[in-house]
Amino acid sequence: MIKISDKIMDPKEIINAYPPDSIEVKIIEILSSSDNIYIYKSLDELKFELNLRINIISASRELNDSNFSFRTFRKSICNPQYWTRTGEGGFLIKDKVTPSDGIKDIFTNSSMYGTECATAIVIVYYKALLNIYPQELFNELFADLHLMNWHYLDKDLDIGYYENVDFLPGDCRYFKNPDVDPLTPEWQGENTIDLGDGTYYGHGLGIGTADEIIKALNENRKEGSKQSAYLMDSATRPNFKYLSIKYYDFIAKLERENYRRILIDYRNFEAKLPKVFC
Amino acid sequence: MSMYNLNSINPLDKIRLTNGIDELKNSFIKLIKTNNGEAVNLLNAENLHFPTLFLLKIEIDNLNIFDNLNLRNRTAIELTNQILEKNKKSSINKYVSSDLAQIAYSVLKWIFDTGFYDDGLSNEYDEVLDITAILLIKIYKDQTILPIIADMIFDRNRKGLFNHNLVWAFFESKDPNSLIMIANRLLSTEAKDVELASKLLSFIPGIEKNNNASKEKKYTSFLNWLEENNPFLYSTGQSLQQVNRPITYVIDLGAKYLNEYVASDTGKTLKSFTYKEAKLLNEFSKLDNDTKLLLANFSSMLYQKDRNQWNKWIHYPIKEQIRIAKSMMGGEQ
Repeated sequence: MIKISDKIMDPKEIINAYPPDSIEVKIIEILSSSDNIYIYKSLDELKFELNLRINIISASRELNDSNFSFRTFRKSICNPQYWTRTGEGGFLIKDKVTPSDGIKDIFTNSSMYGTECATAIVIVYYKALLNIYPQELFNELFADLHLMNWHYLDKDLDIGYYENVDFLPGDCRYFKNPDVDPLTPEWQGENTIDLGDGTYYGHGLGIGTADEIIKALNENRKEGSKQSAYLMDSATRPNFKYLSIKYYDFIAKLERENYRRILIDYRNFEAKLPKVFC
Repeated sequence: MSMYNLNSINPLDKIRLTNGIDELKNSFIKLIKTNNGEAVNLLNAENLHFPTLFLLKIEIDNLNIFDNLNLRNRTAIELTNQILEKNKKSSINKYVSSDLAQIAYSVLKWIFDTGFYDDGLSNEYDEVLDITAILLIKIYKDQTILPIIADMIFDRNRKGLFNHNLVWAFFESKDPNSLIMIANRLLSTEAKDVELASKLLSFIPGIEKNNNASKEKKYTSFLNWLEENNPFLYSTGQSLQQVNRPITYVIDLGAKYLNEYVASDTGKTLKSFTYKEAKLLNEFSKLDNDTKLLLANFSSMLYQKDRNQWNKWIHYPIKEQIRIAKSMMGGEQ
């Protein structure tokens, strides 16, 4: 069930705004038919979450289509013009580079980058936000970017890990490989993005169904293992509501500034007018 | 230098430690040319430490003396090469799942025991140590190396080096007692140690994220929690690849409620339940989480304090158990 400003929302109110069979409609249907209550302060807040989820999916496809390679942290690579590779194998944004340029470069010069699956998910999150946020807001919020799986995450992403929830397109889902070959700890599991069409994007494995992801992980088990990899009942998500508040606050601030600027311009214009018109 | 006994140090190790890597390689090549037998003997000597063999790997290959090495060195080089191979679909399993398993174990143990002190030698070297630790823990269930792994994790953390695979190996031991080695770092004078220990133990009440309690208080919280819950803890397998703050162990509340010990690696109780216990557990499983927590904590406390009272209480209908637990525990859980 969806509640907006304490009122139960009829999903038809919003479904019509999107093409039938779209991912947005699918998300709204899951939320509205759930036993859980999804509370939003405004329709805009809900729309922002839908938009960000769509952009997480599109950024996943974009990264999958790029030449961004799979590499373990020990062998990770990045474009040294934009990022410093840390001793741990993470990427730290350079002082004179804006976070937005750093993220864009991963997609522009993708062959210069390579890392593990969780870092790819974080890159997807940042790219999705960059698609929505004005650059000024993005750079203000995500200064000092440090990319290394789930660590050193910017507090403003406010990533959370949830169990026993409804799973939605755009969620990060984890496939666990409990009997992984000890020689390849990087395949102990796979962080993926639910693309909303029955497939998942997992960096290093590409796009595939759950069965295909499981099959790929199973190929990296101990010899003779009979314990299969599996999709966990958990989801990892950024804090959509917080990110929405930041977005609309910024937009409102911009509008106020624009209004003030127009007012000043008008007053200046008015002052210059010959008195005969006054 | 502390792990090297200067009286019994291998001359090759001594050159490496006092004159550096280049000098070790030059001296070794020179010795091979002048006294091949002596050079091979030094490599095969019992007191050789792994880092020296690792550093001479290319020279051993170039000088074509691999076949003159003893079984320990040949196995160590083969294992090392397999670990570092780009395509890891290698035949390391031939060692760990065959007659060679015991040999592989003793060689891996030698690599780790004589190699850990030089952690940080190179990226490749550290990778060999990581995988060696994982093999010893996951395949050979060797928990004797846990204190060294803990040292390496915190040492690398201080130096800003990659430690996630070692953290994974450490928790894959699936032994809640090993948490003490992490908790000891809560009392460290190094801020980075305290920060990492707090993060790795943040699933424990009192050590959660943003808890501003003193490190002494956090340490006490840990000790109390472990003492109360140790028999009922089991490993979840969560890792740093999956989440920022893994919940590596959870309490089996049902087991705590019945005071039945669980196997920390599987989460299964050590003995099978009687009909009565199974019935109680069935009713328990239908309760909400807060009530489960209340009953499990109360049961455990009563069991420790007064076994007779506990025996009486556990035989009451579950509603009565809850009423008594609520009245005795108040809001505390």
